[in-house]
Amino acid sequence: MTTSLESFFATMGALMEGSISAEQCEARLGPSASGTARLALYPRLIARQATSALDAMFAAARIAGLAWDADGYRALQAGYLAAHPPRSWSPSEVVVGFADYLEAHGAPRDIVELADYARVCRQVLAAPASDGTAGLAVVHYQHAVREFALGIKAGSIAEGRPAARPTTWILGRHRETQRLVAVTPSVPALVALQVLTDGTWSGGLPAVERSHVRLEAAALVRLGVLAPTAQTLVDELACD
Amino acid sequence: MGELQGVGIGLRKALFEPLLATNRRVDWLEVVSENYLDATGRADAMLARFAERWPIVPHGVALSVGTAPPDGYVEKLTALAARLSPPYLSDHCCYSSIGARNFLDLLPLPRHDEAIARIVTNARAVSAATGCSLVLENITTYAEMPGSIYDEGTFLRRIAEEAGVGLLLDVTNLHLNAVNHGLDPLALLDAFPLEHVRQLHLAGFTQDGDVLLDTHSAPIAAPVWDLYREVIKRRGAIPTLIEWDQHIPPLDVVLDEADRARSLMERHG
Repeated sequence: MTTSLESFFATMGALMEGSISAEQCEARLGPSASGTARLALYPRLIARQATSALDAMFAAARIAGLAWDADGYRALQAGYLAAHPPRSWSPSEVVVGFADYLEAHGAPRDIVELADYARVCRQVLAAPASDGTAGLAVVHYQHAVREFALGIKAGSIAEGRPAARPTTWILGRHRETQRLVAVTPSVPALVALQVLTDGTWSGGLPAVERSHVRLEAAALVRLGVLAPTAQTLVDELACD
Repeated sequence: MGELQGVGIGLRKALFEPLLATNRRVDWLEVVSENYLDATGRADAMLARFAERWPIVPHGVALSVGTAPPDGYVEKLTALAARLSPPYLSDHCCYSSIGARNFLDLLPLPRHDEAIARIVTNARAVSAATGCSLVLENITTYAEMPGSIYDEGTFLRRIAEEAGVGLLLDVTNLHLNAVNHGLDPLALLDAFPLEHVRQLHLAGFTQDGDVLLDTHSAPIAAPVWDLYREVIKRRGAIPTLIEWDQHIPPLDVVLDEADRARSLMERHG
């Protein structure tokens, strides 16, 4: 039996989305020479592929999620993918909304923060090159999520959850190596970024020595996350 | 860019820095097209850096030549081709999306006349739009699709000849299909239209129950090397890619496999 391509795609699409069984698929399209069980493998592989995309982007959140409640975390993954069936050719684009989904569905704070950290890192690495602060992010977390994520990546952490410890980071991309750079910021460094973003030294900024702000801006330039022109701008604004 | 020569490796993020630092031989690189269609920031900068040193071929997973390319996809692929000037663009003889729904996987088509006609139409359109030859790869299949009337060799030969596209023979996929469907790999190779093949792929796989999965997550297995040697004996040297996508080992392990392929190519090609 040879059915039309349109019928084939409609039926296979339904099989892969789980709305019909392999038996129903064969009833509509004819038998697979490989047998029903093999046909039934496809929806499982499709689901696994989408979950793999989540696991790849949110590797640290996954470890903490499994330590929290393995079934609960897998249910959150399945719920996200059911609510957001992939509509992009980019797996990371497909899964990037998972961080928001975790928060909206009551996942523990540390897992939400780990997912957010993964998302922000992706944004920083993908940001167009900028002479200003456009590609930088300042993140505040209640848990040591960066330390935990680095441990997962290095293989020194295989299970568990991040320690409860407030952390703040400036995340940027090195202008030459393109690597992610993370800096624990001082107040003057945060002021330097705010001044650069605003283009002015506004009245609402914390009271800090302008010389300290200039030094911190220079440090961010040395670390490769700010362009030398940014330091020049901070220097000029600090002299106003 | 002229025709590729020798053995290339898949450019993956984990290999960025080791690759820039290595003195070992790498003849060319392949990138997953979709990783660079919207590239900004690091991906964009690194692509420029690698393109200065090596020929780069974009290899897609989302063209979905069996259904239709996703909206906006061909325009972005055209821009990538203009940037890299590859000898051809490659993707898979399969579908990966139906309408707006993307399955993030390579899915088999029924091997019949209507499917051939659809692929031929889409492949010609993509070649015309991008100004680049298209090369299509055989995929791993885990089940025969209902409605199939042709074997894979006949299916691919007709597509190659009617669409004027080249073929990419993934030797691992050929081995996996033989095992998954209880067929003789040499018989599959006999039927494969080797005269249209412009590139070979070699990769590792994993076992899941009674099927072998195309995961690119392990070293190339002995039976795949044997089959590769047989292909080279029959057709001579063909540009070959070493593919790793999961559990990517240190670069030297990847390059050891590349050296082995190059050695076989020189000895038997």
